[in-house]
Amino acid sequence: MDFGQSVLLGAAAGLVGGIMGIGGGMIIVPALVLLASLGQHEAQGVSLTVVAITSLVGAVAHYRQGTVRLQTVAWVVPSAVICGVFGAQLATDLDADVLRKVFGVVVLVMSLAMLLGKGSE
Amino acid sequence: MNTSDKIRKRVALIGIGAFDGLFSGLTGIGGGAVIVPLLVTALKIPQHQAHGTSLAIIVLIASAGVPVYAAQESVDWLLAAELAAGSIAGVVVGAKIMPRIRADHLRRAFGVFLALVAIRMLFS
Repeated sequence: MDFGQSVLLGAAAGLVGGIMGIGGGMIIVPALVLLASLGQHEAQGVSLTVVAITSLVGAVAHYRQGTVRLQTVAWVVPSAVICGVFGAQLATDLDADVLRKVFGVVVLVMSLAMLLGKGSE
Repeated sequence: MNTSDKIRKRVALIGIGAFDGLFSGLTGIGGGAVIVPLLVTALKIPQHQAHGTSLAIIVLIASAGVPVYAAQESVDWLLAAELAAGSIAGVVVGAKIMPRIRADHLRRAFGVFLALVAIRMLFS
């Protein structure tokens, strides 16, 4: 994947993710696996990095508007970070084929939520 | 709010964190699609605040997960930077045009697209 293609993919993921209220990772991971032939682990590692950077920009914008509830963040974050590391460790321990199937199930559930949900967002 | 309500709310927040952290680390996606509805329905946090709050949480979850992937030499930093540059631009444009889009139609179309992606990932 060359420079132009990856910037374009990022833009598409950000655009659709932003409109749908889902993170761009749901688009970036399958695109990297199916179109750019990355391994499942490599795609997820790149996606998580993109998510961290993109969310930081969004979080700063929200913080300036006063729409970040810091007390809520403080109560969620400890267990979230511990389980985030555990989840990532679990992913790296899994076989790429198994991980890909796990991801496929997540995408399937998300597609059903999109198709059957009322779309309140 | 009385004490037992406060405790219940905090236990819910810790539980939401645990679930979202595991989900995000395992799949390499942010988990905003999971955390926002939970904050809105379980804790009655307004949608806009739930978005802002979830983004702040996701920054920290993702930052914690990245080194684990990187330790397995699984992160192409240059590719990530290119994708992030495009993604930031995409999010800004998406937020601007969102009010003018028939989101319900788009959701259906995107749902079908994701179903096809899921089938490719599960059966190839």
